Amino acid sequence: MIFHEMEASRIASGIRDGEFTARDVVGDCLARMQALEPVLNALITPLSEKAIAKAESIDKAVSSGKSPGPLGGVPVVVKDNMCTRGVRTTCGSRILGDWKPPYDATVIELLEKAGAVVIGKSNMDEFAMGSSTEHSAFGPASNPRDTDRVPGGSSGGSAASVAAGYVPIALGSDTGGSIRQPAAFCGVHGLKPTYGLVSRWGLVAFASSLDQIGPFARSVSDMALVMDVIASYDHKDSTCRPGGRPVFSESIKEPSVKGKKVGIVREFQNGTLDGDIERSIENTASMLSSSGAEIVDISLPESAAYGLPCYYIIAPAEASSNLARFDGVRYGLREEAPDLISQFLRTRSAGFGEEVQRRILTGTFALSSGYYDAYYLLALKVRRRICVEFTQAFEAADVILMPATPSLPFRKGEFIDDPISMYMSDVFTLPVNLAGLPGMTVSTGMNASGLPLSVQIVAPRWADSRLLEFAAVIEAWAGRPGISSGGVL
Amino acid sequence: MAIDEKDVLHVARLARLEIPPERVDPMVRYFQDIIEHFRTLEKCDTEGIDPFEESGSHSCPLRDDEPEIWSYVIDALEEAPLREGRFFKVPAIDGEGDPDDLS
Repeated sequence: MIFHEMEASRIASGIRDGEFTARDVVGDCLARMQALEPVLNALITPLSEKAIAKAESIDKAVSSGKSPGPLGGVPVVVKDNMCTRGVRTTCGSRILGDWKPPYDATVIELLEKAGAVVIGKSNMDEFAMGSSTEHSAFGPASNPRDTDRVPGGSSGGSAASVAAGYVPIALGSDTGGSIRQPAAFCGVHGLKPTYGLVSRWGLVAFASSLDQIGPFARSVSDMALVMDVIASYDHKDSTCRPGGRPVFSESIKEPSVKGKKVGIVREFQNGTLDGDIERSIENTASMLSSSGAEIVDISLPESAAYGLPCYYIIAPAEASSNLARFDGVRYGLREEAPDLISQFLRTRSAGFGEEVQRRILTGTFALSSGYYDAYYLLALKVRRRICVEFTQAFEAADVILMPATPSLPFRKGEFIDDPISMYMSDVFTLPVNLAGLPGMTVSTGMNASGLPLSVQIVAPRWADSRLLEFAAVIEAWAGRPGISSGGVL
Repeated sequence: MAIDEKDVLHVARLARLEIPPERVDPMVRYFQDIIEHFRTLEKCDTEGIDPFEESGSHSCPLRDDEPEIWSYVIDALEEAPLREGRFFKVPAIDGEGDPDDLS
């Protein structure tokens, strides 16, 4: 059996029913990873031995009649900004060195408890700052659909791992599009849940008011399966919403869009959008209309005009504060110096890469005396306007259908020396984070050149299950994304 | 506003970063470009908006203020580049790097 092409739900049921073993599944996925990794560089730390030991423990549980859990024996990859006890966590940076966290992130605990087998920690733009996974201290990752192109970022390694068939599901984090943009570039599904739905405890912070953990998958049913595991209240994260969560797998059992209103944002079709992506949106809208949904025009002028500058003040400002903790005292890299301040300067300058330094400097500037009101405070006010604008838009529409990215995956090196052009890659995803909304990239197949196409759907806060229902309808029409080796195998 | 080399070096000092001489000019240009983008926000009507209003969000309850045994102290200390007993060890605060230079 070719396990690395299977859905997570099929793997879990096969292991549970004794049809095959977790050891066989994990062995097959590890072999796939080992064959492709020299070209893709999707992982910073493969965890082969640990994964085999966990798979064997799952098989032992099954053979003794115990339940292996809803993800029992399913191989997963997690982004390397999630703390894993005793396993190095680098955030794609030199500054953390070989730091081994003394605790697991809540999402890791939940995955482990559900029986998932973590086979590796994925490559990423340093501290999740980037859109191409080229800003990694561990070298760039490649896109499995076309290895000359970037996988997107910052969770590029997680997206590539799912697209290449290392694993059926992976976790990433999304601060301004870092799940949805790489999902679009690699041709898989990617969900950024509502801010506060999934615990951030143990996620190394980039911009705390924007960061959110979410899954990648090659099927909507797998997306629902993993959301049922990771979405739960956690008292250790004060921004995590108290109370219960919907059963996501229930929401996709009989998906229907009949009578629902789908908003199309005209400001986002302004001539700079790639033609194939624009057609993908139009075709998806036509299909939803044929399936009984009503297509309505909506307007988000302030999100379109101000989302990008607003984000690039708020996120760096929060980053400049969050990353102040990396000073060579308690963990990671230390560059010795005769006095403490010189040690801070040397350690941080040697440990942080160029893009992270740019953002720390931008954020420090926006928060500094004389500029706080003119930039940071103004950006917070604009953020409120964007939140209100989305709230009003959802009075007219149940979901918004829009692009995830303005372009198809770009070539490696194309924007590496032009950071502001790189930032434009997230122009359609950033406003969703500013408003704390759930957004999902849904794969809609490939263009004539074999590059991935997608759409983004956005829902009101806490309507994540509505996104999955829409995604299930789109997937039934467009088909589930397959895996690709980028011509390596 | 015009950002120059002096401003960028001042911000770098605040951020505890050193910018090597060959990267100063590109960083000045980056600042000039990104601030031009930031200035588009000045066109947004923000009159009367409370920037800290949290409507539509959810409450963020704090944990009970009760002491707990945190069992990872030794593990956390193990990761320190330099320590002495139960403490992180650092060089002297006094030196050529001016600790009061936070203006």
